[in-house]
Amino acid sequence: MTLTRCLVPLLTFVLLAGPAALAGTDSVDFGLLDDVQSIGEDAIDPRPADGEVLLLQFWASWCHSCGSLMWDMDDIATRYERVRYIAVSLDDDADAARAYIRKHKLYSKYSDRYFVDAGKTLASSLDIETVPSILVVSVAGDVRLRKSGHLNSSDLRDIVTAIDQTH
Amino acid sequence: MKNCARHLFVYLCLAPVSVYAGDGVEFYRDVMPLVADNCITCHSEAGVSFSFENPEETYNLRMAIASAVADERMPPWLAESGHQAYVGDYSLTAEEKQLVAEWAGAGFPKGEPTASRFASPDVMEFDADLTVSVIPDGSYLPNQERKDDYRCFVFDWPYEEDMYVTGFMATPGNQRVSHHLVNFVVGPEAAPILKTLSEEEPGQGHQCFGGALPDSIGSKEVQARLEERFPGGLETLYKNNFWLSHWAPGMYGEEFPADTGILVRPGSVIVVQMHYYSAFAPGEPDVGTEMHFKLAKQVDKPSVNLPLTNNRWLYGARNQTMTIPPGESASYEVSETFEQVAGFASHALRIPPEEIGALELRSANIHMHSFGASGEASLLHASGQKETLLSIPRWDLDWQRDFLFEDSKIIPKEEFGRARLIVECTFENYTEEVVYGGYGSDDEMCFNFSYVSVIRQEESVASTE
Repeated sequence: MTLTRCLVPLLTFVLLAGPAALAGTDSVDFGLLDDVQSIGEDAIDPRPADGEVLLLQFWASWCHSCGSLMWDMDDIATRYERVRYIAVSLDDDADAARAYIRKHKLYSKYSDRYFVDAGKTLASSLDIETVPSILVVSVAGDVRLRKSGHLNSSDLRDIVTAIDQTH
Repeated sequence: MKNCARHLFVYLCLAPVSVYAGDGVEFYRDVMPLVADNCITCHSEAGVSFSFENPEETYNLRMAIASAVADERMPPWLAESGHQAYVGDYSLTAEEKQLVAEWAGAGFPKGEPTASRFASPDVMEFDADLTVSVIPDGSYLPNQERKDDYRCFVFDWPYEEDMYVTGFMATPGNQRVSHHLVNFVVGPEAAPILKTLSEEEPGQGHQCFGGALPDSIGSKEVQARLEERFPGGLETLYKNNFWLSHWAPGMYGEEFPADTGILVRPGSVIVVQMHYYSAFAPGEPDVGTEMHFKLAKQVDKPSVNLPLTNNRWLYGARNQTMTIPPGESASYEVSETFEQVAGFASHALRIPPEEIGALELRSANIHMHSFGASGEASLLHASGQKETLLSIPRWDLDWQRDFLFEDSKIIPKEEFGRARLIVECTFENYTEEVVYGGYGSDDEMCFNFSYVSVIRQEESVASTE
């Protein structure tokens, strides 16, 4: 299927990327955000502005749980002026991610915050093995919370609490 | 399962430290059979999510598989182990999880290919007595403006005599957008009211997040209008709709427990509540979901799916009986004596109370919405001993299901007054608004559904003798 074809290069990349990339880090190199490609025409800057907490989601167009989570994350992010929410696709084919967002009316209105990490540089640096994955990242770039997989109400409350406690 | 489990046992006997001794764990020989037994029912070309049928493509997902198993995200089996043995339990044992962990730790050895394709477990033959297509116009496009669309379709029950449903299978019209479905029987007293309400909604069917009834009845205005046209109609609707059967990805034909069935009377309608989830296949319609029923004119043990809740919680915003403050957690509990359960069964099955000699409790199924965090259903025996029927330490709206006991619980009539069925739910509110009990997708519910069979007085006496 398409999704497995998409995943092969990703996981191959992760496996072959070397120990440093595999180990991942507990901080985000904001410079790597310059490498992600925007999906929408009026994309926001993926880098958080001064004083902003980064709510960083990894997703893929073939991921069953990701779409639902994007809805929840948007709901949480819009509560905060100091949170920058971006969703980074791990699709190999940026067009697949773009087509997904355009096709689904539910998400097309948020297309300004969706990106593709086609080179997997950002994902590899953070040891992302699963989509969806959610990271709450401090102003200094420290990862304060990681969640992955199918999230429930407790997970979402943890995310809200982490944002409240992160600066 | 469980060729692999047999191998496992042998190896466990030989190797106290490692799950697998000697050659170590290999993908083709050890891991892929586990995947085939426990995952392919959903992860297939015909299933709801990406396919594990091709072992080479599955191997490419090795890191994701190992991660999902280690975190216990997959397979999605919500019931905590150690309380009851459940029929069809596809959760992995501790040994199986360790096997996957060892495989990952060893660098994912592949081994020699054993097959180029793996199939899901055998699908049972299902000879239906009645098949019905439920989409009136033959095609329905789920609401694309919402992440979830709960749509109910209504069809007339075609028989003019009492029938018992003894088995069920659903054929989704588009499995990529069909999250799950539930069938309800609406009895002849309430059928005209339900049909009127459904037909008043634009489009096919009606919106029905909370069950068979239209969500619109949560509105005071709609209730008032309903009462004008059908005095007592609201109560009639509540008292005469019953859970019949359900389907979720991975389920094939299902025979109800032997000698049991659920009564459907002439003049009833069946309401099919479809939960559509379009995130996986936006823009795709359901092109004709079908229901298939096995039927019998008589069964030894007429049965019901008992809904246990506090009905007042369903109007939480109005009466403040179920409130979850913003940013906080809250727990709710309700219980019923088996005297009350017998009363419900008597009403639903048209069996005089004095003819009920015992009740046989066969399953548990906790139901909450998206703010659910954990839940427990339990049986308080007449002796005072509390037995956990189902504990869900980490609730997930998407993986709810019936948990059918390997060993059913029989409650004799003499204990009806002292034995109780209990459900408790804990919620976490991550929003900035108060969440109330109610029918809507932003509201909450706390239910336990149990399949309960009636053992008639004479059979109960005979079995005692």
